[in-house]
Amino acid sequence: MKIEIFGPGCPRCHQLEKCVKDAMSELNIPADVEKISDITKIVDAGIMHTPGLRINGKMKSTGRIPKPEEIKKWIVEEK
Amino acid sequence: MDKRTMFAIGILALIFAVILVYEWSGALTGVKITMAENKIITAKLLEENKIPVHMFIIVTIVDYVKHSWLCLLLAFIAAGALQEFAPRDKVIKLMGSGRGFAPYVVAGAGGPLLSMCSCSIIPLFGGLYKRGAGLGPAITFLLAAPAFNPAAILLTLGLLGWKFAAARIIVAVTAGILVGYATDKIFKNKLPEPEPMRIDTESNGVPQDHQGFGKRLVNMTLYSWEFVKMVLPLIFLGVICAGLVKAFLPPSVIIKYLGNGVLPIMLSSAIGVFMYTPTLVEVPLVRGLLESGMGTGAAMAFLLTGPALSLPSILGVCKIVKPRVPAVYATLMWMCGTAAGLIFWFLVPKF
Repeated sequence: MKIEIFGPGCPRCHQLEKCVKDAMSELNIPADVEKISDITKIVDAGIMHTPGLRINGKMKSTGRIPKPEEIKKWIVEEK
Repeated sequence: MDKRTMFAIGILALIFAVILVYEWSGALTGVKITMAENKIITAKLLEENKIPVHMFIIVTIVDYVKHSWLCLLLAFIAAGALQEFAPRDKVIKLMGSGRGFAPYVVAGAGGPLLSMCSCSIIPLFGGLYKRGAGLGPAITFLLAAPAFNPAAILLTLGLLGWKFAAARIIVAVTAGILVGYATDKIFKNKLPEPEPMRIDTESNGVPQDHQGFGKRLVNMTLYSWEFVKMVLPLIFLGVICAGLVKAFLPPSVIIKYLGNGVLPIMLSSAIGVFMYTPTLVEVPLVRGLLESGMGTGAAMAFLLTGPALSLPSILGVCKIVKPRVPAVYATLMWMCGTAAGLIFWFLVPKF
């Protein structure tokens, strides 16, 4: 499972990364987590409101920090 | 117009109505008069009375908080409301309509509706440009949005007065529209066309839950709190910088290089273009400078170019469009900053 976190480096994107890592350690599911800060890649992914969260190529949320329950739900769905 | 839009507009109207009533009833004026009566501490006083530097900074912080707490509170509420209720997709769709001036006006005025976080402005710019809104409106958004941040405007109102706040809005939106339009015309047909993707109306295909109103009020409060956490440190940083400026930069230097006159305005505008000022930091900083002798024109110029541009932002944009583009709009903004500074100086000679 590939999890991508899009954000140019503001506190909210770091917060999202932390939330994702917390969720993963709670669920104990292995995944490849990548933080993408390059503006061109963010724009090409079609994300206009950062932070963005993409799991296995599917965009799950943009512009907000999803609640931990939501993140866990998505991770479990995409297992 | 759906409920969301109405609610967003309603909240904004309410907030501005409150401010208007407050100002009218003289409350804010009363605060400003006490401001003038209080001894304004400057570097000169520091030398004369040997006040320790840390006391200085504390006094500055207390002073600024006294003047701005109400506006800040309103700003945080406004931020949360906009984040939750503003009809982003409609705004983006309007920007892509491509006819005449409408996209530009929407881009200039739509800043606060689209984004409150200054770091998402560049990805938003990239998205708008590549997805067919056109270079012009995208640039207008890029330049006007940071200055049109409701928190910044309200803080400006609290710390610098209504003249600066009103001027900021007018100047930022006007300059944004002018520079965006001009840059678009200059580079017409000279740049590779970005793939004309349709602008998504469903925010990248992310499913939108339609939540109940009560839940959204909760979301709004959560956003406001997130906003507070993000912004309060920045304001303190600005206040500390202002305190340091007042403590260490003698008024003579400030008056000489940033005081009244055409050259200081040009210099101030230029500094704003390159200097990285996170939105909201510039307000207390400018107030500190004004108290130490900065000219009103130079201050206005800086308030325009400071938040709108910075070296890191220009470098970021260079990754999305050719460097020629930021070079052009930075120069144009510098000129607008100078012009705005000159006009404002003429209208409002004294702080």
